[in-house]
Amino acid sequence: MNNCSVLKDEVSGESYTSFTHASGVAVYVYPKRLTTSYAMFGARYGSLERTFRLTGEEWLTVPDGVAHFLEHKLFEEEDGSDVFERFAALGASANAFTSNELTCYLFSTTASVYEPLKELISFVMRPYFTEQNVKKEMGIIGQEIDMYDDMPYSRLNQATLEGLYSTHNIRVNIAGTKETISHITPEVLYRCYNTFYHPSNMVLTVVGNVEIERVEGILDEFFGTEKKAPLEVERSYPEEQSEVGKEYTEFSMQVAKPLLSVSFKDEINGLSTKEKQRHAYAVHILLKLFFSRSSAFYNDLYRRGLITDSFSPVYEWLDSCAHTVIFAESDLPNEVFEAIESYMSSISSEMLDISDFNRVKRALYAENIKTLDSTEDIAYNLTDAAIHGLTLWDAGEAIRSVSFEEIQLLADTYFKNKHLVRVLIKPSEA
Amino acid sequence: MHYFPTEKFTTNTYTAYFLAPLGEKSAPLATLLSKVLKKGSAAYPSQEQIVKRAEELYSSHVVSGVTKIAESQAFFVSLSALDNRFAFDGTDIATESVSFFASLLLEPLLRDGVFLEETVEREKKALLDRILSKINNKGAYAMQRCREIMFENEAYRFSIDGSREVVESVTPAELYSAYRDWLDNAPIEIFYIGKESFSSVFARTEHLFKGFAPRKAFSSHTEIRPSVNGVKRVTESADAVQGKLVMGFRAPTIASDKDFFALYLLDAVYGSSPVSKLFMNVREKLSLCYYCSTMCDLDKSVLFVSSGVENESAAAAEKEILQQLSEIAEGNITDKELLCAKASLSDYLRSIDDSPYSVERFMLTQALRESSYFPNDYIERLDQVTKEDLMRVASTLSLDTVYFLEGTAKGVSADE
Repeated sequence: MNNCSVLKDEVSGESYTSFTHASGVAVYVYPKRLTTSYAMFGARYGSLERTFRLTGEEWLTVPDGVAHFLEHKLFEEEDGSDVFERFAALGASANAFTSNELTCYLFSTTASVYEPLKELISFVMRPYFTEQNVKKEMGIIGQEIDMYDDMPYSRLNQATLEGLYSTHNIRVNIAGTKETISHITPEVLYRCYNTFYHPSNMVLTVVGNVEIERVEGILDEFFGTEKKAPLEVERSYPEEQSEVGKEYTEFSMQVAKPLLSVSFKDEINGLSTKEKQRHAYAVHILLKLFFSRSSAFYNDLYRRGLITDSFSPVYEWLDSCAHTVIFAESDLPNEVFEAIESYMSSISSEMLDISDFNRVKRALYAENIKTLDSTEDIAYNLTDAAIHGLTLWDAGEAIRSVSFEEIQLLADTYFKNKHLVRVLIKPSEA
Repeated sequence: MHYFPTEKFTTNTYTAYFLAPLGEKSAPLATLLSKVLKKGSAAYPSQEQIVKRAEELYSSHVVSGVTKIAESQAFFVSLSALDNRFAFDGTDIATESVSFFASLLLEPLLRDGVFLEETVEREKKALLDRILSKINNKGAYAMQRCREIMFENEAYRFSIDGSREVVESVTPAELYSAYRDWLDNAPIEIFYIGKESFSSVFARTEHLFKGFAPRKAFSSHTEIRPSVNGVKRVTESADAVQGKLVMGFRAPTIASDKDFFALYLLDAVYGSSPVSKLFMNVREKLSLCYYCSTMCDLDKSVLFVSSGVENESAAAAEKEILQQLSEIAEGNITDKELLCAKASLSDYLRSIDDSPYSVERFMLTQALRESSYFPNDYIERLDQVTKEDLMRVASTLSLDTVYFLEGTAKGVSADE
C-alpha cells in the first residue's frame, strides 16, 4: 500500500482509509455500521473530455456522448453473459452513471461485499465492443436522449449551460445527440477506453461492512502486486471566453406553466481546489440567506403569487468553471426576471444580520453531518472529493471556517455587474 | 406507538400517521392541510419564521403530506432532528424540536376560528398548479391516466391531489373542520426511530398527544375486483418525442398468504428487478424501449407495466410485454431468474432498516394489513415460493387497460 493514511473526522468521530494500490488505483475504504454496503469504481473521465491524446500519439477529438456510450457498452460481455444478472445472483444490485468529470460503476448490497467487488473490477476492466453491439446501443441511447428531451427541467438546465458558456465543454450534453452518437465506432470506444480506463486513472470507494486488507487482496489478485507506471494523458480544452454563450433563450414545449432560469458565471480560475470548495460553501450560505425559503425575497414573491414552490437557487462548480443559477416557475416570467435582476443589484452586506448568518451556517453544518446516515451518500461524496483531490472531511471543515466578515464582503460583490443569462420555456399551444 | 431503537443514525425521527379511507374530497383536503400547516402557526405565523426556526434547530425537518396505501390514505407529519450529541452550542435539539413539531401540528394559525383565507387560497392555487403540471412528467402522467381509466368506478382512482373541481371548491371552514376531524377522530399510528430510550420517547409522545381522545384502530377496506370483460384501450397524445405505454392487470384471486408472496415474487421476475424478463428482453435484447418495468400494488392485487417507447414500436412492445407474461405462466422461468429475483427482493428487504423512512413505511403497511411480519419474515416466505406458484399466479393476471400516450413532437436533438 502506498500513501496509506487514515482520515478521521473530529465532529462525527468516523474515519476512512485511503491508499494507492500498486496498479495505480486510488482506493478509499470506509467501514460503516449500516446494513447496506456500497462500492463505486470510477474513471476520471466524463463528458468534458473531447480532445486528448496519450503522450506521443496523435490528438483525437471524439463525438459528443462517447463517455456515456462507453459506460453503457461496458455492461456487454464477450461470452454474452449478463453483468446485472451476475450481481443480482450475488444479492447485489449494479448500476452506473456518467457525469461531466466521472464515469462510475457501482453496486449496493446487504450481503458480503467481496464477491460483487471482484465482479465490479473485472467487468469494468474487460471491454468488448463490436460493430454490431455498438449499432444496437444507438437505439437504446437514442431513446434515453428522447426521454430527457421530454423532461422540462432537463431541457431548462441544458439551455442554461449553453447560454452561460460560449465554448466550455460543459455545454455538451452528457449523452450527446442522436446525430453525434451515430458517429461512434468500436475503434473510437477502444481509444477512449485505453486512454482513460488505465488503473492510474481509476478510483475505488467501498463503504460499509468492509476490511481494508481484503480490498487490497482483491486488487492484488486482479492487477498483481507489481508497481505500474501511470499513463500520461494530455487533454485539450477550448478556452472559455469571458462573454456568455447566449444572453437570452426562449423556446416552447409542453409545460403547464412557464419555466425560467437566471444565471451567471463565477470566476474561480485563480483558486486552489480547496479554496474553490470553501468559496462554494460561502456562496451556498449567501444563496440561502438571500434566495431560500427563509429569505424575505422568496416569501415576498411567493405571497404575491409570482412564483411557486418550484424555486431553487443552485451553485455548481467543476475544476474549470462555476456558476449560480436560479430556477423558477411562474405565470408571469418577465416580472420574475425583473424582480430577480433588480433584487440582485440591491443586495448588500447591510441587509445581513449575524444571527441570520449563524442560523444558516448551523443548518448547513447539520445537513453535512446527516449525509453520514447513508453508505450511498458517503460513497458519492467521498468519490467526488477524491477526484478533486479533497478529503471527505474537507466539506465540514470548509463550512465551519466560513466567517461572517467573508459573507459580508461577498454580499457586496457577488451579485454585482454580472452578465446575466436568462432562459424561458413557454407552454406550447395545445 | 411503534418504537424502533437504533444507534445507526445521526437523527431522531418521529412520525404520526392519521388514517382514513381514501376519498375523493378527503384526500385533497388532507393534502391542502399538510401545506397550510407549514405556512404558519400561532407561534411562527409565517413560512419564513417556520423555516428559520427549523434552521436554528440544526436543520430539523418537519415534513407533512399524504400517502395513499391501496384504498386508504394516511395524513402524516414527521420530524427528523439531528441528535443532541452534535449540538456544538448545547442546544437541546431533541426537546426543542419536538415542541416545535407540536406547535406546527397542534397550534395552527387561525383567524375567527378557521385557517386564514389568503393562505388557503394560495395553497389551493399552488395545488391546482401542481395538478396542471403533472403533464410535465409524461411517465407519471400516463400512469395516472391509466389508473383513472382502469378504476373509473373504484376509490382507487382518486389521487391525493384531487381533481381541479374538488380543489377549487374547498373553503377555509371546510379545511379546518377536516383538520379537527383528523385530530379528534382518526386512528393514529406513531413511530419513533432513533437512539433515545423508550421511557423518554414515551414521555415525549404522551405529552404531545395528551389532549387526544381514545379511538379505534384503523381497519382498511380495499375492494378487489374481478377483471371486466374485454380490454379497455385509450390512446391520447402529448407534445413529446417519446410515447409512454402503461398496461394495467388485475390479479383477482390473491387471497392466501401463499398467493400474496407469489405475486410479490412474480412482480420481480416479470418486471421490477434489475434482471427482470421485461428489462432483459424488451429493452436489452430487442431495444424496444429505454425503460420497461412493473409496479405491483399487493394490497389492491393489481400490476402495472410502464414503458417509454417510440410510437412506431408501441405495438411490438405491447406484444412482447404480453409474451413475457405468458412465458412465466407456461413455466419458462430459469433457476437463475428465480434465484436473482429472490436475491434482489431479499437485498431490498434487508436494506429497509438503513432508512428511518423505509422502516416506518414498512411497519405502517404491516399495521394496515393487520400483519406483524418483519422484513425477515418476508424473506423467508419469498424463499418458499416455487416456480409452480409463479405459473399459477401469472395465469390469473388479466389485462384490464392499455393506455398509450402518443408522442407527437419530433426530436430536438436531431435538429441541433
